[in-house]
Amino acid sequence: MNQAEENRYITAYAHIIGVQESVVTEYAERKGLAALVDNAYQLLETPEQRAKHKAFLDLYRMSSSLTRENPILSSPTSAAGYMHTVIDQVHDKESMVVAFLNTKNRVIDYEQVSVGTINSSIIHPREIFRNAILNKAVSVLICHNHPSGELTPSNEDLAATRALKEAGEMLGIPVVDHIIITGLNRDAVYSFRAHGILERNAHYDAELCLTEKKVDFENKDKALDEITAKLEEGIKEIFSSGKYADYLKVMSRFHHYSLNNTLLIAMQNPEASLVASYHAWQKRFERQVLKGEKAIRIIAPVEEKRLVEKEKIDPQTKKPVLDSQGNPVMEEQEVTVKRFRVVPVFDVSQTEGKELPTLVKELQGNVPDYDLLFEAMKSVSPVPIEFKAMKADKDGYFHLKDKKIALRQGMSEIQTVATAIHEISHAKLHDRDPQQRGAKGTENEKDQRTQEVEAESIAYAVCQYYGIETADNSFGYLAGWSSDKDLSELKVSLQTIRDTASELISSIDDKIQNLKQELEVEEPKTRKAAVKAVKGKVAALAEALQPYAFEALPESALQFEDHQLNQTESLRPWLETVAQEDRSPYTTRANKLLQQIDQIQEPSAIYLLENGETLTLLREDDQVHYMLTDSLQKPVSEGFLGEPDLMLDAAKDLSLSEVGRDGITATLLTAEAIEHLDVLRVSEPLVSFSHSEHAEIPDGLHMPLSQANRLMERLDQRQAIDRQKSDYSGPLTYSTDFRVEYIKEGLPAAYTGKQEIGAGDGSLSHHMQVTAQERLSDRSWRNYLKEMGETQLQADPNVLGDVRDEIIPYFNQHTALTFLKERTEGYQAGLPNIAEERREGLRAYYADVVNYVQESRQQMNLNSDPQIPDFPQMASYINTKGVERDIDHDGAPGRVDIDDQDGRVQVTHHLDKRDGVAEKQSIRERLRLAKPEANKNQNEKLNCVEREIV
Amino acid sequence: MSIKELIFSLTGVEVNTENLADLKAHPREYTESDEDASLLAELFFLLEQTEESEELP
Repeated sequence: MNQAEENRYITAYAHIIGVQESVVTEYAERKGLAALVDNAYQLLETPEQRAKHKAFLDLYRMSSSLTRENPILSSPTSAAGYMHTVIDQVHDKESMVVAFLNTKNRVIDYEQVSVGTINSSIIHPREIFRNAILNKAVSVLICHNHPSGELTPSNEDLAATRALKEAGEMLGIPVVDHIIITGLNRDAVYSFRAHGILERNAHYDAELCLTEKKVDFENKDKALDEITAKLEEGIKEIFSSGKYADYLKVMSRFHHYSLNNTLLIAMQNPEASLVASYHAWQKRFERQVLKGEKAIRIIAPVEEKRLVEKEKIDPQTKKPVLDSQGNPVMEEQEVTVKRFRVVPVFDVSQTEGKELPTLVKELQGNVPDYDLLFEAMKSVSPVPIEFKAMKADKDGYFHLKDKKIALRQGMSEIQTVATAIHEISHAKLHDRDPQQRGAKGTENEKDQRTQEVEAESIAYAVCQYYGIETADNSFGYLAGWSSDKDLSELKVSLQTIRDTASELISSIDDKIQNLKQELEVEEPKTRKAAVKAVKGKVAALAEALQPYAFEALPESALQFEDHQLNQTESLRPWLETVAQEDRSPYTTRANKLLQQIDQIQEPSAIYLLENGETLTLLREDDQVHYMLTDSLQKPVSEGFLGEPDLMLDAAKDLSLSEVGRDGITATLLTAEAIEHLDVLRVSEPLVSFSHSEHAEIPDGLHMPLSQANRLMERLDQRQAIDRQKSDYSGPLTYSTDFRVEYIKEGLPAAYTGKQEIGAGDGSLSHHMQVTAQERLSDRSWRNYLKEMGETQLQADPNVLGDVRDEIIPYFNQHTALTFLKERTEGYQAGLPNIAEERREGLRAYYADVVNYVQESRQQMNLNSDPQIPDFPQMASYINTKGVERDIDHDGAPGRVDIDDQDGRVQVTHHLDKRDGVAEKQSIRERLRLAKPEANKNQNEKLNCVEREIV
Repeated sequence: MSIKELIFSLTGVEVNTENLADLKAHPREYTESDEDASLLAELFFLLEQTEESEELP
């Protein structure tokens, strides 16, 4: 900028931010022109000026993103910052944006894929990945906003994320993260990856993950360079954030004590961090000192006013005033005298009340291979690591005297790993042992700021290497400990940070490899071998728990022979205690051992095969009896396995081989899953509503599909009418999330979707059909199919062609059978009014109709080639030349027509319907046609004319 | 805040677009008066110069 531009710049800044131009000029001369934007805190005196400055920074970031090279999304924070610049109306409507990333996680392009509600059925993977392919993206990052300001993801968000994760994995375009942002707070972000929902998938540094590590040791230095560069960038972001200004504002209210008082505080309470007087806590920080807390005594200056006799001074001549005798005139004057006295102060830990602002955020989420990683960290730590109960404001410490590291119990896995590495770094670099210190030389001793910056930077670098995102915590922590925005502590320690992080990573990697080899021992085949393995693992766990002062494993617990299978039960109480105690990381190991004991004791197991067959294994003494049944539960094959004492998992493989089903996937069913499957096998599809905005549908409500159809149709029509009323003030529609579970060809399946009640879709089945039809007519879907090849996508249960041609007709058949059953039950209830001579015949007839329904359902659910039984003929039961009419039956064998309650829907032969259903009319059209059709329908019913489903 | 709101809070000018690039290129098209457009020009000058000065070594 030349001088004229600088002057114009200052004028514009003063005008826009609302600061006097002379003040701006003086500030710019003193601190440089850039400080007006980067370091203007001291310049801005009023809240209005600060708000404008913040608004300017926000606009600057948006503006900058237009002209600069596309950014690299290196953390949830940076991703959120970017997404705020691209999502329109972030606080008005829910919308979803997908960013397409290259190998460096740099944004290639982005696309707003939806506006409105986010739903797994609406946000189909094709919409996300279609342009990812066109853009040659290596990975994608997805973001959607919650206009409400609430960051917590809904069940639908979670379901959608999992679906996208799976689709991404299938296509080889992993999802780096799915984040939620709000329009209320720019700093707020929810990261699915940070919460473990996208773990093992992709990372902000895709090359740097634990399980798919691609950085070899030759490239590690380069990786560490990138990580430390990112670290600097992250801390600078914190410095420029509003959060940092708020933090400074509150921290500036704390008094800075003299060296003497600092020593006095440290002597009385070594862990004291923020200290203030009783009244200061109350007035300045809205916190109350806890009852019974002992004060820290410091020496404080006290000013006292006293009257002293002094010579009177002439204000004009500034000389003493003299009396007539030439003596100075004396007068009493008030003077301030400084004295010192002992005053009580209290540390923040001794107070409660309004939370103080903090730059750090406790990390949540799990870490892949946490057990392995933590075990490895423990072995590379120069001092033992233990877990202890601590106050929530402390995550851990390295005890200089006891030479041990303590971590707070109950932290998330991510927070535990980050804290452990932080403390290990302190133990490696900042041990003040006199011998150690002698070796290093006192001149190298670092101040606390440098020590904290080093430890946290190493923790950040190591965590990044293992794909663990700690930016939310690390950047704020480092900003808090940095003495200036030039990051001088970080810069002088860069080499130490890189060397120590590199050394730690190498050691941890080596240890992880060793542990993995130990774990990759083949699963024991026999129960005897399994007992031996469990004993060994329990002994190892007991040994690992020794430093934790945990309840010891009773000596006698392992003193039994390997064939004494029931003795493993004696290990259960101790393992259950370990699993229940919050003593990371051993809860996982204890739970796994409990599972293994269960497997040893298991008397039977049922597996569902991918072809719909079921394999049942039953232990009979030392032998295993296997039984294979088809999808209709009819026996296919059975026998005993020759090898004795087999674990059921090993027996499963042998059994599959015996019955000629080698290589087929078999899923072990839990007791709950078996019960659920048994219900589904003989029933119509079951609907559960996970969430609905409509008051008549509570969360978790479930019912048969036919009932759900009627409910949704009724509510949909009522909402359309209510909305027209002049005094109506509710929403246009009510979003309702639903899931239909069903069994088809013996295999369980589900359809998940969202219906807007009041949008005119009518019943649930009609909504599904309309949705499928609309999407099938979408050109982008067809293009996508061309790009991807249909085979791959047909594996998806929600593939639209299947939904329209197979699933909806199947649902409609079930619904029709339900109507038939309900009508029959109505007739059954009226039997007492029927003439006695006809009653028995009708009773038998109606019972057979109900059996027909049941048998038809089972065939439809379990058989790939359904064999629908013949419909009972009333003539076979009674003489029909009377008043009774054959219910819903047209007289043709194997043909049924069934109308629903309002007389508008009719169903034809079950097998005919499997071959396709005519497109359903909209509710409006149906309503329009209902009246003229009604009379015709009556006639048709009498003449038993077949009709397609409408 | 949206771009509209940010600009309003900084200059008091109401604009009818969220497209910052277009707004920078054609401020008069999205404002009601020449005076508003010149206020926007002042703001954009500040943004541009801030960006340029940040890129200096």
